[in-house]
Amino acid sequence: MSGEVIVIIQLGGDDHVANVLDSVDAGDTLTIRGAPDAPTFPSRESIPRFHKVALRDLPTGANVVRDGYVIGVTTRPVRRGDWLHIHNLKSARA
Amino acid sequence: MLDASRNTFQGYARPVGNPGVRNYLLVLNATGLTEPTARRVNAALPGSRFASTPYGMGLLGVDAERQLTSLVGLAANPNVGGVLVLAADRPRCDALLSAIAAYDKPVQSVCYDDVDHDALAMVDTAVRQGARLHRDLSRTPRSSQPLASLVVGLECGLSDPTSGIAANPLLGRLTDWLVDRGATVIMGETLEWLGTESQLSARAIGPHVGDAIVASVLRREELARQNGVSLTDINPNRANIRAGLSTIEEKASGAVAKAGSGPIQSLLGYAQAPTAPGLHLMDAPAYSPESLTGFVAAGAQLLAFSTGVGNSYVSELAPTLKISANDATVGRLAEQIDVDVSDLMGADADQEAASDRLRDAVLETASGAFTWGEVLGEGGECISRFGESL
Repeated sequence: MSGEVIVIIQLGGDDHVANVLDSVDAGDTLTIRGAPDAPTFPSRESIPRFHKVALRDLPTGANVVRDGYVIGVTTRPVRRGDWLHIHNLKSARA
Repeated sequence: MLDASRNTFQGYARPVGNPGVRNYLLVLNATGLTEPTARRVNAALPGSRFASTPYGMGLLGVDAERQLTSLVGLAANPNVGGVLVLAADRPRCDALLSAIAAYDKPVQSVCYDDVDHDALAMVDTAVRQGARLHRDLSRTPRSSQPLASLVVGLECGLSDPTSGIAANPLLGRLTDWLVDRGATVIMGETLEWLGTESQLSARAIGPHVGDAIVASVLRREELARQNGVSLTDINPNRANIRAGLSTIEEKASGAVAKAGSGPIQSLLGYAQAPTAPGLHLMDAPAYSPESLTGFVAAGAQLLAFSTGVGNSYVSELAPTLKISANDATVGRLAEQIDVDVSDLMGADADQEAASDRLRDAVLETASGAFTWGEVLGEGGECISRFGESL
């Protein structure tokens, strides 16, 4: 691990993603707000401020849950610490 | 002066219905032909408010009905103390006047028919009538009014992740607080319920309401599909995506946080007034100008509008509080964001303190404090369309 410690917000207990409160560089340490005992983990790439980071590994075609809602499906395999956005996540509906 | 218990505000009692938080003369233009003339009349009456339809003859079915009910709704809005109606023809004008009469407000009207189709003569007559109305209105004092008489519309525009994480959940706390105190809250933007409709449906007071909520979302989803429209790039739009929202479901899951946690009383049609207090959904377009007018024509006196990237648009008739949790936006738009809740995106977030600030802003605004949108004149009204004209 290296770099800065960045706080992330996880809205729902079983969520697959969190939002980063500051811009993230690869290798920064991510820590969940309000969960001092939860394990931290490293980011795998740069993530713009407030964007989403994967909290777990997900295969292609997996439902992605945030705040208890399915917010889309993965379009390629995702690893914990990856940036989740339109390059690897799409609407399941429209 | 704020009521320490936060149970009242200083508003304008009306002969019929809820009190106003403003006391406007409304210049209401009822036909597209007269709009330039009506704008000239409005400009000649400082302090008056303007609403208009660009349409007239040839409206069909639901449009014919909704344009009329929306115009009536705008005139009936409690923030309107008196109405000056302008139209091309007497029959259309009189249909509007007879519907407005139920609200027992001072109303005057001028039509092209009355002035031999002379637009300048119409300005002269209308300005004289409007001036008298406006002067009379100014004698109405504010008085103490119960919080329960407030109808608040909820909107989010140019959202970013801070909207769904912080600003909209805070609006949800406002919603629960208002509903607990007997007030009425309306959330619209049907497309932005997509992906959350089963959870919203489960909060409906009965299966008829819940089924209608689900059907309204599926209908709009199907409308997009039939027209070959991909929602990505439209909703979320490019500004939303750049800011970090990836899908309509993600945006919707943040948007519906505005509705708090309580039961949903009804699914309203566009511009349809709720008949009971509590939380209501309105089946309506997501574009802010159309959406806000739907709330205002349904009787909302005040709007609470969250934004992530920034969105200056406000209602012409209902003070619109802009709320943002994005510190960069609050810094950039210091004279456009009314309530800064960016501390909620910090490492520590005090929800209760932010809730108190928002409640105070609602009560102060209801009692007469200006929003930035009012100061800057960013307001408009836009009645939605549903189909073709003849």
